[in-house]
Amino acid sequence: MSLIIEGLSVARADGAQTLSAIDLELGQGQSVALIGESGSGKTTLGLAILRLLPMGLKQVGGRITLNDVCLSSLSDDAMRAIRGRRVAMVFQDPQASFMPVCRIGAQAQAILRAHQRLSKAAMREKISARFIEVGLPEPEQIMAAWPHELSGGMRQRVLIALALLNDPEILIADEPTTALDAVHKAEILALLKRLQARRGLSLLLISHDHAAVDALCTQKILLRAGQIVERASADWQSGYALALANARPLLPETRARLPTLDDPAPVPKAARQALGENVLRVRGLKVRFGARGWFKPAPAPTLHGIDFELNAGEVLGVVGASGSGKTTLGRALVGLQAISGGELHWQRAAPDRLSRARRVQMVFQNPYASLNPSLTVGFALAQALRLHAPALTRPEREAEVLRWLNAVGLKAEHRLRHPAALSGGERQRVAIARALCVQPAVLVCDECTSALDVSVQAQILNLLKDLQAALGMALIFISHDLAVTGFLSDRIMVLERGALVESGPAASVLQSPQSAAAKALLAAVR
Amino acid sequence: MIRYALLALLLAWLLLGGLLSPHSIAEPHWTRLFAGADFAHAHFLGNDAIGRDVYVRVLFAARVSVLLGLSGALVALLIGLSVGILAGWFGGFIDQLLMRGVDVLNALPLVFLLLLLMALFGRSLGLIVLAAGAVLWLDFARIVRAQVLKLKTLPFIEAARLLGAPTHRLLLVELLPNLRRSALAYLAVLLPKVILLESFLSFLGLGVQEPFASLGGLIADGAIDMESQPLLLLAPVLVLGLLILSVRSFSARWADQQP
Repeated sequence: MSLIIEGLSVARADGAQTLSAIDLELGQGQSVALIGESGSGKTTLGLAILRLLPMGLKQVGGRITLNDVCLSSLSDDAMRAIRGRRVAMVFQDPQASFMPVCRIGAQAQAILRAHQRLSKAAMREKISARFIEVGLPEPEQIMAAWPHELSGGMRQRVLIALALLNDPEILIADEPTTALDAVHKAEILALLKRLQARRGLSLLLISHDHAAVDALCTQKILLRAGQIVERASADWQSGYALALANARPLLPETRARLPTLDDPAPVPKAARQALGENVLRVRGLKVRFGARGWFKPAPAPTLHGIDFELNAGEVLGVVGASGSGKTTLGRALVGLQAISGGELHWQRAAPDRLSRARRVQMVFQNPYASLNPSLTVGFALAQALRLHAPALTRPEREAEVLRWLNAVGLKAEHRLRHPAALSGGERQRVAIARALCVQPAVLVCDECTSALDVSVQAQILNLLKDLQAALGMALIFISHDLAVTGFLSDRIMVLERGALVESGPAASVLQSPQSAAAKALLAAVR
Repeated sequence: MIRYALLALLLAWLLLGGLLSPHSIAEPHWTRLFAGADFAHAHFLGNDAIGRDVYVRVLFAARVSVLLGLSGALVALLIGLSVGILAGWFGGFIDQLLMRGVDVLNALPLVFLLLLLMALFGRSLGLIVLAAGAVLWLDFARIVRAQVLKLKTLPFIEAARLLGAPTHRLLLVELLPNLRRSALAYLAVLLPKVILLESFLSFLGLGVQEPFASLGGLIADGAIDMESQPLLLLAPVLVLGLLILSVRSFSARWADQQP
């Protein structure tokens, strides 16, 4: 049994290659890792093997052979017999991989029925066995459960069990641990390793997580922009690979910019210039979800007693664990969340909608949902300008759109693209351009890099830092990552269970945290 | 490929099919009652009970059915979109009011509603279109409402709101383009539905009136004389079938290809 890929090329309809000349060999019982940033083509490679390339992508060269059978020469029916039966895939998003309206048991049976004729009892027995194999001790309960009743870690286990139902020889696991926290991640990796050893399974692991790959795979292949940059079995050699590992902010951060792939050794941090005048004063801010019922006491407030001030040109970091209320704080500041007490005192009065928009803008966490999928990038930016600079003529507006695209490091060609044709980092750049093109006094960034790869995160953080310095707006940077926040911020506020537990200059919070919450966050990034 | 060819062929026939025949829709040929096909005199599908040319009648009927289908479907889409967007976006009282209205209309038998409209306003082509649209938008309004409920919580709507976009711009620029997939997909369902509905009305004798005809009317007439001249029934049935088949497969595909 062996899977051999020779010179595989995949291209978009416009001719741009998303994968070019990929060679890869996966023997019986071997484990090979594909590593790369998002957009490097690693998922595309997995899908190409199964002939499941999405519309608009096409294999244009090379061959994929499984046991000397060329997969691209097979009929659709013959391919269907291989998919799931001999080569199975665990897809990236465990939530989206289940049919939400069917119980787990029914979905498992459908997978079995696609390839084998078994009695109901035999199917149940087989499914139970797989569930136990992946460490789910009560298979009957899982079979009767709905997908939404499972936790993230359980979902991932069930997915792996489903992929193994028809005893495939090759398992392609696409980012199987990305959606999980550190504890579950370790468990799933151990499980994959155990399964691989016991079944003699060939594993193709797709990941951007270097630690996960090292734990599991003997061979590593690094992809960049659809090409293989390096193959390694232990430590990386190429500059690109090392740069990827370096792009994460370290503590205490002394660099003015993070090293990126283009600029691996930036200059050290310079002293900050003096701050401007006050733009926002917050006093006793309180947000409470839900009201007191007749027989029900009022729920605990999500946020209470928040006091702070923000000056022009200042970068304020807001950190906290999940559930600490930091997102709610951001939404309350921009006015997407009604406040239940306290006051937000803006220096600049805003009598109408448009001047409120010029007071504060927001960059959202998920770049995949914060851009309208139906509108091109250029149109979305032009919309914002049309609202805020109605006097511009059409060519002037076009020029302004281009100027903002350039300002966030995008090119003129991006103007005509839909968000679906952009990578996560590019989308976040568009979101930043859209927020900044109305020239707000304050920009709130809510976890705006948490959905991105580390190297892309470094680029976005550098971009935010540059833009903030150039435009002089105040920035409120909300994150759970103290290292990232420390890199950008002048001052840091730490939230815990809706209350402000610590606040001070970034350097002192990072070096001598006082509160337990700050210490825990610091430990998580060390 | 086949679906493109079929649709192109049907459209070409609808537009240019008249060039093949010198006959007019209402002209009787008294010597040719129930006659079979006669290519020498360009009666490709024979003649009906009063000697009118069947080919020409089927062609005109198909044109009428397609036009009625398109306009009826557009009316239904328009009403469905408006009601669905209003209900989903504004929620609360407006939502309750509109959706309970939909429930009430859903509870009324469709035919009863149509007959009522016909009785009140008399028979006319325009009314048939309006009537078809007025009874077929109900499901689409629900679909749109559900989509709007989901879409309106997404960050891109919030971002546009933060930029200070007024409500009508949020609805037209941010929301509406994201509904076009459903609209196209539903058009594929609606078009044949309207054609069938009109055919049904014509079958009852309430649709398009003589000397003009629609496919449904022709089928109704053809069914009576099925034994003496089967072409009277088969020709319109075949055209109706092909029309619906091609529209369905084509517009379903069209909806899938939207970005």
